[in-house]
Amino acid sequence: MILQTHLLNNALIADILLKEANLANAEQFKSELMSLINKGNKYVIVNFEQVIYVDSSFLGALVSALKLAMNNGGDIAVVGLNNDIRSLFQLVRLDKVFRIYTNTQEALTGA
Amino acid sequence: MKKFVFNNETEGIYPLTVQIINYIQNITKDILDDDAGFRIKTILIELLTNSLKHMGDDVTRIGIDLKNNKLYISKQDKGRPLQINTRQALLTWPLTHSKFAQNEIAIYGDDFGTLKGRVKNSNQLEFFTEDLDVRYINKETIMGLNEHYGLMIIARASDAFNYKHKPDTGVNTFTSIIELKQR
Repeated sequence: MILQTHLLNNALIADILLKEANLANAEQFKSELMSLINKGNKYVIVNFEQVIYVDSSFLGALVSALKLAMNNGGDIAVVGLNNDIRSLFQLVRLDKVFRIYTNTQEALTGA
Repeated sequence: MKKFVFNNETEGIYPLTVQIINYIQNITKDILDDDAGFRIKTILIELLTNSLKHMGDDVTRIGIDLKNNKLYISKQDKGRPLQINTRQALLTWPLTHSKFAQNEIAIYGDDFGTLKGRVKNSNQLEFFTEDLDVRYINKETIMGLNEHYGLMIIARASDAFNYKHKPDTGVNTFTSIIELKQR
């Protein structure tokens, strides 16, 4: 299991239980996240607090899940990015498509 | 040039990245700022991930060199030559110039930008990105998003990034160059 979830207000918080978010676990991450979206969760907040780095495969998985969420009338926000991961989102322009918040509380306010 | 060996195991990515960054910090001393540090880390992770995808059980060599405040990060292996199914044609080596208008190949992209390759010669490709300033983002923009970022990340994080294939030895070399600024 990569994602640990709990409901808070109108959002589903999904904590990533990984330090290294990479090729080895990208497919499973995508599958778990998509399953949560398909269960009807409209607003999913993915928490990267425990993650030290993210690679391109993992970003691709996140984008794939965002497309599914949008098709289902939902959205994904990301929180808990360290400086390098935040810079990586900016480098690939994903800061323009994901709602990025410092923490879960901020994301809930934006929900 | 200092060389590091990567055994193409996922568990090895982060420890080797840290080991190489420590070496780079030692040789660059006061010319490595936070931005360059982020770019180097990102490039190393993506080069090693690329290797993991394409090399299987063989080993990959990462070379680090510093010349005139330019940091050269190279990845060398004897695996399958770079295979890219571009919008125009399947890339095979040696490259045939006539296939590509203006010697430029659009590799992949989305509304935010395109990763392109400039054919330097039949065995060398120089990567670059063409970026667009997108102001209005709608559902269509998101549905059209690219889901492959590896080479694009390296191209954007580098000041120059190229690939060379040596047909006589079968050696493939990716080289990323970062210009370090004196602080």
